[in-house]
Amino acid sequence: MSTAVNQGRLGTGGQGTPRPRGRGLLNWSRFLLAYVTTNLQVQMEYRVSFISQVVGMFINDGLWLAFWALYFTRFPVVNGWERTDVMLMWAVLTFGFGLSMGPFGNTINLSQLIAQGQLDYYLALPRPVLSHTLVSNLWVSAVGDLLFGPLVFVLFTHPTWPRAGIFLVTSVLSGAILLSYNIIVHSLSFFIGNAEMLSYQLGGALVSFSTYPPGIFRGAAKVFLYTVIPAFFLGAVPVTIIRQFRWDLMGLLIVVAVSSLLLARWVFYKGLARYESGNLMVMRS
Amino acid sequence: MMAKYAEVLKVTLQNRLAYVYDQIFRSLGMVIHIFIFIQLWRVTFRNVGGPVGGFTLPQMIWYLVLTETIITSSPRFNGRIDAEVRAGDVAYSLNRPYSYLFFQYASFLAEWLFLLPINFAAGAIVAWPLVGGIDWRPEAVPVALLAMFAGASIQFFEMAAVALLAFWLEDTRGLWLLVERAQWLLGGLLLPVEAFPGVLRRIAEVLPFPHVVGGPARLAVDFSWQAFGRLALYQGVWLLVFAVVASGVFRLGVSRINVNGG
Repeated sequence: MSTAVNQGRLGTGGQGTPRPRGRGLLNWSRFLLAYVTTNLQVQMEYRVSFISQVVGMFINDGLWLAFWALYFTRFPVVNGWERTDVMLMWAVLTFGFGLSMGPFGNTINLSQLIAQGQLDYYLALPRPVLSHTLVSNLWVSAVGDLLFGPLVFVLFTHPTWPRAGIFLVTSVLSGAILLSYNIIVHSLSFFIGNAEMLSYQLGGALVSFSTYPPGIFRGAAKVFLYTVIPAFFLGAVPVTIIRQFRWDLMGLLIVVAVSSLLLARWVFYKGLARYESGNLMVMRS
Repeated sequence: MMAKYAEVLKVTLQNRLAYVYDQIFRSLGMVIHIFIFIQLWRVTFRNVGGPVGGFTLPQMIWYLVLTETIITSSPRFNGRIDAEVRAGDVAYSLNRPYSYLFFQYASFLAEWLFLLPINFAAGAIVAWPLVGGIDWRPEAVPVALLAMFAGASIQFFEMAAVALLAFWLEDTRGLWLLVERAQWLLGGLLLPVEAFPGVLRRIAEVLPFPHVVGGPARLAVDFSWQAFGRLALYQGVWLLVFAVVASGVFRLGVSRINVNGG
């Protein structure tokens, strides 16, 4: 098993033959792209189901925007935040969510795969275990988010080309933080057994906290939401950057995103060293 | 006649009680939502400097605890009915001495009875220390519970009417999602209907949604017999409408079933 893990960490397609880093990254990107394309084609075979899930997520997100539209009609400002700011936050959050949890849709199943010893399949293949596991399932509903975010940005937030560029970059960073957080909480299954429910609740907490204006939280809650549950980095910080660009905040967001990805990778592989096979015979379809 | 459905309710409830700790853990989401609502409405009330939709801050928070409880305690039977219709499992119930709809209704009520106290406790555990209690009128509690029961019944038949469209449609879950989200928004889950702008409020009030979600919650925190009478009337009408529609859709759908031995 450890051999498989090491092969996975080399992870560029070669069975133990190191390749130049740049070419490895290109191969990895091609691999991810091929996987996502195939997953998308598979899902499109069930066209009605695919469309209904995408539309369903549109409706779900739309409900929240409708709530905020109603709320701000009655109470125009909440601690410095106005309707457009919340719309912008939802645009970043949903786009970032779609970018990360859509293609890496298996993230939400990770704790279950670990607890049930179903990582064996990925360990035996010459690809990076973590990214291969995550990309092997497409979260169809998240495709709805992926489309919803840019639409809200264009329709409700007075877009300009420079702002669109910043929106794109901050959404990618927001998605990276969200993905990292979910990898970490789902990796708890390596350490405490079946953490499926716990990781689901912790994942939900991050999303819930990130969808409200940051000004409503104070004191310890605020510190908590910048650190343990990094909700503010998902929506509030990107909105501040898009409203008025600041290099220091952009730098901070990049540092948080990159370091959280590295931390997630470290936690996963640290946990993988403790992984025990389930010796399951399963049919993959 | 009703004894068999009471038995279904009892057995389903017993099954669910075996997983009570699991459900308590699942209600953590409710704790988080109520905590966030308290933060939001604290700021809102401070900015407004007076009541909102006729509510004080504690009334608003307890109203939200109850609307969240109502929504989270309503089991999603639409998926189950939809799947049974599409798989043809509904045919097994046709030659049995019970009504398919009432069998599902009894199971639904059992789940509702199981979820309601747990979800309410999860919300109350946050609301009580952070905003304190309110002056509950003694008669408000049983009457509001009755209104919640009526609301849950409307919700079931509404859900069944949509899910039974699976006799004709490939997948009804998307359609139910649309109805459900409309219910959340126009039913007063996040904001009392009384705080809506004029036209939207009038539209919401003629729909069944506020009589399922916001109406019973408002009755509990701001009780009056007059409000109860009005709510009971609306609930009675909507319950009748959806029960008739669901049975009609079921009868029409069953007439399309071909049973081929097996």
